[in-house]
Amino acid sequence: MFSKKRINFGSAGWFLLPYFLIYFIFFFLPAISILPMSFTEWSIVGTPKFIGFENFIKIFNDRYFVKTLSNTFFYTILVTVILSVLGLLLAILLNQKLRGRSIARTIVIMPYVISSAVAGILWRWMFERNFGIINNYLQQFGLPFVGWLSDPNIALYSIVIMNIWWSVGFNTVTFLAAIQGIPEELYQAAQVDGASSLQSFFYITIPQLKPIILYVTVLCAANSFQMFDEAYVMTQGGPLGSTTTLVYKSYVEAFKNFRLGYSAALSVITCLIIIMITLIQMGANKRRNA
Amino acid sequence: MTKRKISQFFTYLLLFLVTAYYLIPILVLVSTSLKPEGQVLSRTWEWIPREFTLENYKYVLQNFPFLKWTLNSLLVTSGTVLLTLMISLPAGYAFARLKMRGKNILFSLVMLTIMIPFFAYTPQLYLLITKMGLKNTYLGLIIPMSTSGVSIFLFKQFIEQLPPDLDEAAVLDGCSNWGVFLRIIMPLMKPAIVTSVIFTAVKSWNSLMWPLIASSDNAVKTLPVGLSVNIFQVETGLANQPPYGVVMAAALLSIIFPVLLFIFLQRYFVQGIATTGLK
Amino acid sequence: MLKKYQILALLLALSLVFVSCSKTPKTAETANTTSAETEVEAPAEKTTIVFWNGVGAPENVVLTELVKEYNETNQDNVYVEEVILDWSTLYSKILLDFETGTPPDIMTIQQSGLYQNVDLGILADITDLMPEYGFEKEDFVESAWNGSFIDGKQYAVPFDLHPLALYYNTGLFEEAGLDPANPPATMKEFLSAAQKLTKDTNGDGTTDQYGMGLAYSGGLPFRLWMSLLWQHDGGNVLNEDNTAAAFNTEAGLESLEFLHDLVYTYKVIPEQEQSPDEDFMKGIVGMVISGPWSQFDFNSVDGLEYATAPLPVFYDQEAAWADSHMLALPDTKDETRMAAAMSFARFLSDNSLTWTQKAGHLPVKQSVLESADFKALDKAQAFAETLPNAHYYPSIKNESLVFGRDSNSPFVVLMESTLLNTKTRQEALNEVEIMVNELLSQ
Repeated sequence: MFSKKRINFGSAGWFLLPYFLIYFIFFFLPAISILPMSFTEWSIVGTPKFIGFENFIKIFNDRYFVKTLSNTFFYTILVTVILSVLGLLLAILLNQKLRGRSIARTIVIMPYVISSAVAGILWRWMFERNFGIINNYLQQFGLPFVGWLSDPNIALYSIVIMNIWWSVGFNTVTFLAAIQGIPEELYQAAQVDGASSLQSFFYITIPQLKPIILYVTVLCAANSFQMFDEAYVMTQGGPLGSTTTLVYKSYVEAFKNFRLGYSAALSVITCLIIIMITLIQMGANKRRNA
Repeated sequence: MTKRKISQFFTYLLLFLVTAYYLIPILVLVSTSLKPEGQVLSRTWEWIPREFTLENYKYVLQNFPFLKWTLNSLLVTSGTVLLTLMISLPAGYAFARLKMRGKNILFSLVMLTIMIPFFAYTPQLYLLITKMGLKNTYLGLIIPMSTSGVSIFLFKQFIEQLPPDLDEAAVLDGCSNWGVFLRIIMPLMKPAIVTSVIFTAVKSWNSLMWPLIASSDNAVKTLPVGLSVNIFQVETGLANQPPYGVVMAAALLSIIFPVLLFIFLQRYFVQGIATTGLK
Repeated sequence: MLKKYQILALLLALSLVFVSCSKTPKTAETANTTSAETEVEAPAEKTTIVFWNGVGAPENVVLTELVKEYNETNQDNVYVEEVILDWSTLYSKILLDFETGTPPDIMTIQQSGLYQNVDLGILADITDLMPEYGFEKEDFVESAWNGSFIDGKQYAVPFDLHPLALYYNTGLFEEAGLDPANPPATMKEFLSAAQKLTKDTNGDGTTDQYGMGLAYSGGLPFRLWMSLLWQHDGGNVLNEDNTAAAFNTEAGLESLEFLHDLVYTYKVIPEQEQSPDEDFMKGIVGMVISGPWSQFDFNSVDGLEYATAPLPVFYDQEAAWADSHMLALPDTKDETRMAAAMSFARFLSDNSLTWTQKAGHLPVKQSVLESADFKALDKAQAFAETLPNAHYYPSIKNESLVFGRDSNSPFVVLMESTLLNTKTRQEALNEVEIMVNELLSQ
């Protein structure tokens, strides 16, 4: 009788309690409020005014909304694919027993520890169209100038290039750590069976890394869908809105225009889309596992 | 033998090219920080400064409470890392291994932290922090940055990757869940913990938006806030140009700690191989 | 296993350290004596006020020096605690801190941001306080004084004014056979100077020196375009009661076409230019149109010889865009602190010459403008000449929406479409007219 009533400190609840305590107060309470807020008009000062679906109607009628949405999706897909694949390849390369490996590792990771402000200023400067370092070299090779950040058709790609440098470190470190967890016996056994290194990559490394590949792609997609810092520092969402993402727009609405209801509505839409993307990714992962 | 040599040659070539891509912008950074402003603004780019100067570094260190900012950032960063590890490790283990009703729903709630843009709820968070009297305090900076579920997600995925036979055996031996967690799982988690430490530290070290609003007070001002408000403005956009030499010098000074941290933690990535590879 | 408990104990101890660390500033805050940049504790008998300095790096250093001087010398028994912010943080933080009842006692504000903050009820009406602290209408430049009024009530102390003017590189002028003592004053002179300055200096077949610098994005291009619009007889951005767009006219089109032609027909401005100030410092562009704030950067470059002139008259009359820094008091309803804040404002206003000397912005007090010390600042004179013809943005509630500098702000769209040549000028004007009218009707 008594033993049943005793609290079981080993149950899952106790492992989760510390996190969820902080989570509930400092994340959930403030974050969930964007849902009711998205139906109001509010500029921080004063009380919110309920206006129904007006914010959402306004968003869908906005002449730039479709463009913003397509920018965001295009960027997300591009960055997720490139950074995930590149992160894995770099991790494998940097895991080889090569001379100078630890220096190379440090160099590849170094950009990742630089703040977005500095990274942005640095690349904005190198991307400068008329007299920047990159175009300077292009000119010396007799190539035409590229409007890295000023050409509306190119600016988004330039942010991707900058990101390959700046944020691939996250993925590389994760994969590097995960590769350490693959038992070496598997490779030795494969070698005995005469498998090529390409074969052991596809039949050992990839399947073993599955949970981490899911982790990296989910995070990469969610993060790039929320791309903000890069655009904020390098292009201010321009030129002609070509690097404006959903999150950038909701930032401007909240912190420049003080239309918090409108901004909250944008955030709700953003969040719903990311949930959808994540569910698709997780679903795809499950199907592959089955 | 020759085939092996050729493949080795290409591997090194690849390593060299990759490293070069990541190194070149860093070299631009270093070189610019050592140039006097007049030379930074010369028409053509020079890799090696014609005239070396430490003026930019002096300017940053002498005119601003750089050490104070660094100390604040160190406090906030180590606080965030510790808190994150303390609350995320047990949670990650529970999500990966323990049985509980509604676990999936709870995990979806964790994932929400990754999906909702931080500044969507920044105003509410700020109002909350102010009401709790945490404005302009270290805790007010640390706690909201520790709610991210990135580490829990990482730990969960890592533990799922571990063979389940290990802890099943321990449970049969009468080991409690905490025992399994502390004695079996934790030692195997080293690479994951190191990864999480790196991410959390870098994110916290560089975070700007939240400290900018929550800690403009000089007593708790962090490095990124000090840099961006007192030395160069991020938001000036295209019209103004920051003094590049000073910006780059400040940037280099500000990445010393994260780079050292990475160099220090790097060896754990190698150790992982040594301990699991049974020869 | 002991090791693990040791680690746990260490973690616990460290977390305790953080809790105690975090408490120190908290208790300090409630006592209103948070240590400021100067690290000097205020004596208890003094009134401590909080001042938000939002003018941004690098000029904010000058204000910080003035705050320090005031704290050391003032007889008002006031101690000023300075908080350094940037504009965008200041504007969002003031809303949050006003809502939570912890606003600063005094803060910097731009004239263009005044209406919005008054409309939200944040700023105190200081009409009656002004004469008490010796601020009289006659002492001030008229446009600046009037700019501090919203609906007949005064909400701020004008501190400076920053109109647009022309900067030119005197060395490059001489090389091109132009007279640095005679800067261009009309459209014809401007065009001819710009064309002479545009050349291929190293003979490789591409232009590497340009007449003028103009960024394709940001705030400056549309401020210049508005200046050109105001230079037309009857040219206006908005209609008389500021309820609808009035720029889609012959004058608006002509001004826009002119800027487009400078890049694509006369080719005296580099295409898709990103940072004209930087190019001016490098000697790549011979002229640049900017506000007095650029002097701070330009003076930091050794060997850059430049001078300033009022904005040339391109059309019928003189006119140039301007904005102004002001000092405003959030409505704390605390009379002692408001009095202290006004005394501090008085000090800053009296010492605005230091601000001009070090940060370049024009003083708005007649006495300072007429002083010999000010007359000695030769680069400031061009801006001073512009004063009578300075134009603020039309005063509207939705200032940050209509005159915003983000990529989707109407006038940024207008200038980017023009300077990147993606639309005809008429198409751009039509599109932006609709956008502005939509925003104004909200």
